[in-house]
Amino acid sequence: MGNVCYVPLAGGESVSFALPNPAAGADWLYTIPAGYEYEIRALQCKLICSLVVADRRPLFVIYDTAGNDHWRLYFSPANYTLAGETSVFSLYVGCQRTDYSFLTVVTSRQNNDTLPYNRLPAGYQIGTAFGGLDAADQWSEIRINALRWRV
Amino acid sequence: MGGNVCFVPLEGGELIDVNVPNPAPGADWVYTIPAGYEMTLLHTFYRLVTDANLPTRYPMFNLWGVDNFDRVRMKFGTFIGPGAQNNFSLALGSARADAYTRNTYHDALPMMRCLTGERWGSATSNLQAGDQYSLIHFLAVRWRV
Repeated sequence: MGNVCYVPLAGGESVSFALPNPAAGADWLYTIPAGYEYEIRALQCKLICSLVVADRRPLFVIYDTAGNDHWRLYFSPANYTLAGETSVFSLYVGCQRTDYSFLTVVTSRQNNDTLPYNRLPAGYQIGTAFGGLDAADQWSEIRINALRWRV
Repeated sequence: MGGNVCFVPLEGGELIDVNVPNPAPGADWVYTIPAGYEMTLLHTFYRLVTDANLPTRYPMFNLWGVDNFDRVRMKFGTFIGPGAQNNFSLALGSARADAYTRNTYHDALPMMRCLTGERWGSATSNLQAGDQYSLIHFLAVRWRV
């Protein structure tokens, strides 16, 4: 062990946090705080669907500060979440599963896909924009791991 | 946290959020790296609405060098007919390849640091006179050179 650098040369600080649940029937969005740039490395969230039959259409998004779409990630119709299902979405940089959905038991679904490489400025948002959510559907266990820089 | 942490991005560069003006109907959209900069495209989103003319449109995303020859061609396998609205969501690091879901094309962008005068944008075969590109946004890292 010679001249080893013991600090992360990529710079930035690693942060890992959870978001509060949105209201029932509402999507969630995380806004990059002022004074930072964030590289979202992983996000996970759980959707508990009510028993109401609805056309729930999974969609993850990145918006710029004006609300314009910068990225959309749809899941295909075969992988939609259904009435009475609990669906966990786990998206991360480097994931090799795409549009992946696995029904572990009858009412429990695991979904994976790739987060793109990203470096998001303050005011950008990342989160969900599902179509067809029922008023009683509930997002919870929203967790994010990121690398952030002060700018 | 704590210790000898560098809190600034060591890759340098500044993030630049660009809204590209709509091109004229029937034209592709193209962005040219301005003088004094090099840029890496992180992600882009845009929309194509086709008119009622029948020919099949073949969508493609390209990056061109200053010599006008393309360095990257990304042809999509799902073609577009008349009267359709399609979105394109392309991102560095996406694992989706030539994927088409809910009228949206997904694919990965190349990791390139493009030079002043190089270009990226759409290159659509059989684009019709009333076809319209819109909602063209991208985020990139740029360096002053």
